[in-house]
Amino acid sequence: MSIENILGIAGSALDAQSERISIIAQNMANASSVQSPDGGPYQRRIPVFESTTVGDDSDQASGVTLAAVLRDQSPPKQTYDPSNPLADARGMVQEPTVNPVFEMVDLMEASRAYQANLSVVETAKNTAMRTIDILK
Amino acid sequence: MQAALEVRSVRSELLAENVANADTPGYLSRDLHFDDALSSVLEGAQPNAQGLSDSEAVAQNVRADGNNEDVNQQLAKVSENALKYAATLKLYSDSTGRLKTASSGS
Repeated sequence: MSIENILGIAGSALDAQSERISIIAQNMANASSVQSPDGGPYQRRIPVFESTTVGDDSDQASGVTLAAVLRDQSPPKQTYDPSNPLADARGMVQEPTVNPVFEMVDLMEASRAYQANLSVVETAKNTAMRTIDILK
Repeated sequence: MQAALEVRSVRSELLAENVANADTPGYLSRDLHFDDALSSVLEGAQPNAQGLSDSEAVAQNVRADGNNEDVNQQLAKVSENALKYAATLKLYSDSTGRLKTASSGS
């Protein structure tokens, strides 16, 4: 029974999806951050998933990992607010490109994916328990 | 029967990979042909390697990110596979149970 492999695969996906949820939380929290440590408004973070081997080297089981976190390079949103000290000569303030609706949809997708992997863990666990039970 | 259990467990691993990689760009889901995998296990071939080379990447409904996953379909397969594993296991444990009864001689 390759229960360890299944748990490793599904576990890697649980890890990746929860990291994705934390990136979404970061994006949502910074939806109105007009300043960031790198200068300029906050840039939306985009998680990139990649298949990866889990377990022994000889094993070909492929889990998933968060390979990179990219930054949204699209130009920042411009809002007219001349009273803002950060406004430029034309009175425009640069704001992040975070769209809360997109983020919410992404959040739902991530949480569904998390649940799907959790149910795989559950199934694998039950199967393993039944296998152990034949020793009775 | 052990071979059938072996194939079921290799398949459950493949299906777990499919669910895990549901959001990985460029990943194509994999599966086993039960008959082919079973006969290769019966011939004594490495079930894992054989199973993986036997599995086919079904290029259907590939999304824009190069992934053809349907999580619901995969989850249904996971349940189906677990159920059939349990059925095979039941047959196996019943047959060993009969052996036990016979050897106890009463």
